[in-house]
Amino acid sequence: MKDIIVGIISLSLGVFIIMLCRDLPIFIAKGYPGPSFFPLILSSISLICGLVLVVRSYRGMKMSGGNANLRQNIKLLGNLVKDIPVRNAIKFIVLMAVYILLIPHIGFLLTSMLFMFIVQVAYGVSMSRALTISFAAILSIYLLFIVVLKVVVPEPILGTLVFR
Amino acid sequence: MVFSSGISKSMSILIIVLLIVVVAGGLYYYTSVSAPPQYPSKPITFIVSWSAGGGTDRTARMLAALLENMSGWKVVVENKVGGGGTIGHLAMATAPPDGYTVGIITFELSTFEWMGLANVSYKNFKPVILYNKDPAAVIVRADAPWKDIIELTNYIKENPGKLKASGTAKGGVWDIGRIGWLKNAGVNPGALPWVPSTGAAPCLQELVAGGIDICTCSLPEAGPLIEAGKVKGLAVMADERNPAFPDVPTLKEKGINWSFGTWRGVAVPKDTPDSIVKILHDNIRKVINSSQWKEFMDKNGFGMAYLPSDEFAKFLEKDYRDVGELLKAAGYI
Amino acid sequence: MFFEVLQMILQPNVLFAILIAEFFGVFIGAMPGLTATMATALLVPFTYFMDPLTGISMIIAMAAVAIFAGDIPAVLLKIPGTPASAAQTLDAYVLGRTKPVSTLYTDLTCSVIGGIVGSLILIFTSPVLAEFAVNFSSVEYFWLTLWGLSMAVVISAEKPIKGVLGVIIGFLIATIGIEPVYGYVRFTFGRVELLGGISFIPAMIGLFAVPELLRQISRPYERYEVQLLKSKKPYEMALTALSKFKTTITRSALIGTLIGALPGAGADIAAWTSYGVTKRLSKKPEELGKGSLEGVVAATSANNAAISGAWIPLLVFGIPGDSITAIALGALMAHGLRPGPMLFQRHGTLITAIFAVFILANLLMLLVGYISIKLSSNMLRIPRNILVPLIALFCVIGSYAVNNSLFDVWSMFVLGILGYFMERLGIPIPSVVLAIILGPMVEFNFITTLMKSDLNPLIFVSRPISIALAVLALFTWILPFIRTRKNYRR
Repeated sequence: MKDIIVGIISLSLGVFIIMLCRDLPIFIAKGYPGPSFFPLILSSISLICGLVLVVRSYRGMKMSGGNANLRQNIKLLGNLVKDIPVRNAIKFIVLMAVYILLIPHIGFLLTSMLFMFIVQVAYGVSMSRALTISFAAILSIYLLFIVVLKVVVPEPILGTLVFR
Repeated sequence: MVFSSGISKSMSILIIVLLIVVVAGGLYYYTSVSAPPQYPSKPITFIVSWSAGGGTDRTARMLAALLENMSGWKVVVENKVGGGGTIGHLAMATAPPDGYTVGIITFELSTFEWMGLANVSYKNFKPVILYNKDPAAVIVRADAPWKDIIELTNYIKENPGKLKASGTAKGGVWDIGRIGWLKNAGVNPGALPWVPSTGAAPCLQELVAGGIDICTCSLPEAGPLIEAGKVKGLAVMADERNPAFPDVPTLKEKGINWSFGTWRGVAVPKDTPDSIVKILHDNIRKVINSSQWKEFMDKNGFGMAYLPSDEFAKFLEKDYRDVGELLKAAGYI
Repeated sequence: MFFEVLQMILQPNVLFAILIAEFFGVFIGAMPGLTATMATALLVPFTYFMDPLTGISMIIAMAAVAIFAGDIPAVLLKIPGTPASAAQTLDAYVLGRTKPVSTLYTDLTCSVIGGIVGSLILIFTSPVLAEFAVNFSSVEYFWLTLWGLSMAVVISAEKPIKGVLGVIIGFLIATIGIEPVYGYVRFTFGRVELLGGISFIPAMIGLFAVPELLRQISRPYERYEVQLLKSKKPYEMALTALSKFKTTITRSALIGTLIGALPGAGADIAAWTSYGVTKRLSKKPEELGKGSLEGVVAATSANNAAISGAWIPLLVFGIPGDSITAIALGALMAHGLRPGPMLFQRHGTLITAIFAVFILANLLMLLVGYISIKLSSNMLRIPRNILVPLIALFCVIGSYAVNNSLFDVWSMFVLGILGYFMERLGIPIPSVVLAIILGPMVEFNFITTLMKSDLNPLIFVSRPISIALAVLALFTWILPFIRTRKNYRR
C-alpha cells in the first residue's frame, strides 16, 4: 500500500518537474547543459522509479487478493483521522502555523510566549505552571539570544507602524 | 488544576491573551508619543546583504564598532542574505527614510536591474560615503608563458576561445572587469570565455589545479598564492599600483585605458533628509580617518577609498552606465 | 622552542579564553540553527582586540567543541545541532533512547580522538596535503560529489529506490533560486525570497526536527524514564567502541581530515562520506541507520577531524577548507598573519603555539564535554508537553537567525510537514538532506567542467585522481541495484 502511494507521488513529481521546466532551455549555445538539464534528468529518474514501484506493488497486490486489501486500507485511512495521536499532531501543526503567522504582527517575544502557553495548556499542563514556564522560557531566550548574542528577532509590524 | 470545567478554562485563556495584547499595544502607543528629538536618539541598524564573516560584513562590523567607540552611537549590524544580494539591497531601499536603517551597498547594486534580478539601483538611494575600492587584477599561473599583459592580450586575440577565465558568477564584478579589459584592448570579449565560479578562493584553486588559465580577482585575495610562487599578477585594473604589490603594473601603464573594481559604501533610502545624511557622513568620515580603521583595512587587504556624498552619487551613476554597456558588449543582455 | 611554546599556551589568559570559547561552542553547537560558522563570525570581531594567540585559540576551540555539541541534540532529541551531525542523527538517537548518557560519552570520546588525529595530520603533513588538496579541479569535485550523492542511496540500502526518490526531492529543493552557472531564475514561482534558494539550515531543522516534534506531541503524556540517565556504567559503551571499532575510528578520522582539507567540502560532507564508507565496509551494514554504534563512531570522529583538516589549505595557501576557516582567514589577516608558506618562517613560534592549541583544545573538550553532557541530559527529565513547544520555539528562532528572514521560518515549517509524510512513506530523510548539500555541487561542477573543455566529455577522465574517483563513484552507484537484483532472484 505504502509503495503504491510512493509510486504515484514519484510519477506525479516527474510530471510536475517537466511542467516546471517548460520555460527553461535544456541546452545553451553550442550544446552546453542548460538550467533545465539536471532537473529533467531528475524527472526521468523519478518517472522510472514511480513506474517500477507501481508495477511491482500492483503485482504484489494481485497475488495477495488485491481488492479486499485495498478496501481495508481505505477504511484504515478513515480511522486514522479519528486516531488520537494523529489528531494531536494535526492540532500542533495548526498551532505552529498560527504562531509563525502572528510573529510579524505582534512581535517574536510576545507571540512565542503565547504559543508556549497555549500549547502547554492544550496538551494538559496546568494553567499556572504553563504560565510560569512560558514566562521563564521567554525571559531566558530574551537574555541569551537578544541581549548576549544580539540575534535580531522579528519586530512587530504593529510596532513599527505606530513608530512612523 | 485551578479551573475545573473546560469552558472556564478556554475563557480564561482568551482573557489572558486579550490582556497581553492590550498591554503590549498600550506600550507601543506610549513609546510612539514621545517623538525622538535629535538624530540619532535610538540604535541605528546597518543592513548587510552578504553573510556574516564575508568581506562586506567584516568591514560593516568594524565600522559599527568604531562608530560606537568614537561617536557613542549604538549600531546593530543585520545580515539580510539571499537572492545574490538583492534581498538586502531591496530591504535597504524600502526602509523608512529616517536614518535609522542604513545600508552597506556594494558593487552588485549596479548590476541588479541590468541582469533582471530586481528593480533596485542607485536611483533608490541617497549615497552617504564610499569607503572601500578593490581593483580587479589579471592573475595567471606562475609558470605561464606570458611575460606581461600585452603578450597575454595578443595571445587571446590570436587564439580566441583557447584560454578560459574565471573569478565569480557570470555578470559578477570580476567578469565585468574581464569584459572591460578586453574591450578596451580591442579584443572581442568572447575570445576569453568565462567559466562561472562561486568566488575568488575556489577560482584561484581552480587556477592552481589547472582547470582554468586566468583569474581576474583582487590582488590581496591572491596574495598568499603569489607569495607561495604558485601564481603571478600580470596587471591591476587601477589608476595606480597597489603599494603591497609594487611589481604588478596597471593596465593604463601598458596602454589599455581601463580601471575597474568592486566597491563598498554607505547609503540611505532616497527620501532621507539631507541633514541626517550629513550627520552620518561626518561621523563615518571621522571613523575612516582613524588609525584603527586604517590598520584594520590594511591588515585585511581591503583597499581604502573615500568619496563624499555628492561625488559618490556621480560615481554610482557612472558605474551603473559602465556595467550596462559592458554587459551588452558581452552579449549577456 | 618547546618550553617557549608551552609557556605561551599555558598562560592563564589563553587557557581561560579557550575555556570560555568552549562553553560558548557547546551552547552554539547544541542549539539547532546556530552553527559553528555563525558562532565564528560572531566571535571574530572580539578577537581583533586580543593578542593573536588568544584570538585564534578561541576560534579553534569554539569550532571544535561546537561540532561535537551538535551531536547532543541529535542524541537527545533527534535534531542535529549543526549540519555536521546530520549523518549520524538516526543512529545516535536510536542508541540514545535507551542509553543517552553513554551514547554522549562515546560521542565525546570519538570527537576528541578525531580532533586529535586531524590536528596531528595538520601539524605534520600540512605542506604535502595542501599541495594535494589544491590540485582538485572541478573534474575531481564532480566525481567526488557524485560519489557522495551515491551515499544517499547506500545509506538506504534496504529500499534503494526510496533512497533515490529522497535524492530527487532533495536535489529539486536545492535547484530553487538563481541557478549558479548562467544566472537563470528557476522554480521561484515569482517570489523574491526564493531567488536565493531555500536556506539549508532551516531546511535541515525542519526535515529532522518537525517530524520528531509531531511524533512526540502525538503522545504528550509520556516521558523518558529518568533512571535511564543514571546508567551504572556510563563509560562502558565508549570503551567498547574504542576496542571494537579501532579501525573504523582511524579510517574515519583519516577520511575526515582529507575531506576537510579539500576546499570544496567541509565537516558535513566528511561525516557523510565516512558514514557511507563504513556502511559499505561494515560487517553488519544492515544495522547502520537503526542505532548502530559503528555508524555513530564513524561520523562523529570524521566531522571533528575535518575541522582540523580545513586549516591545512588555509595556512599553506590561504585557501580556506570550509566556511569556518573562511571566516578565520579574516581573523588571521587582522593580526597580520598572512597565510602562505612564509607564515611558518615569519611566525614560526606563534604557529607552533597555535598547533599546540589544537591539541590542547581537543583535550580540554573532554572536560567541557563531560560537564555539558551532565547538564544537557537533564533535558530528558522535562515532560513532553513542555519540551515540545520549547523546542519548536528554538526551531523558529534558529531558522530565523540564519538570515533574519521569516521566510526561512516558513520553509522550515513546510519542509518539516513534508518530512513528516516522507518519513511515514519510508523515504529516508538523511538522503534528502545529503542531496540538498551535494546536488547543486554536482550540477555546477558538471557544467563548468564541460565549459572548460569546450564540451569534450573526455575531460572527465583526463587526470589520474579523476579516473580513480570516477571508478569509485560508478561502482557505488551500481552496487545496490546488483544487490537487490540478487535478492529478487532469491
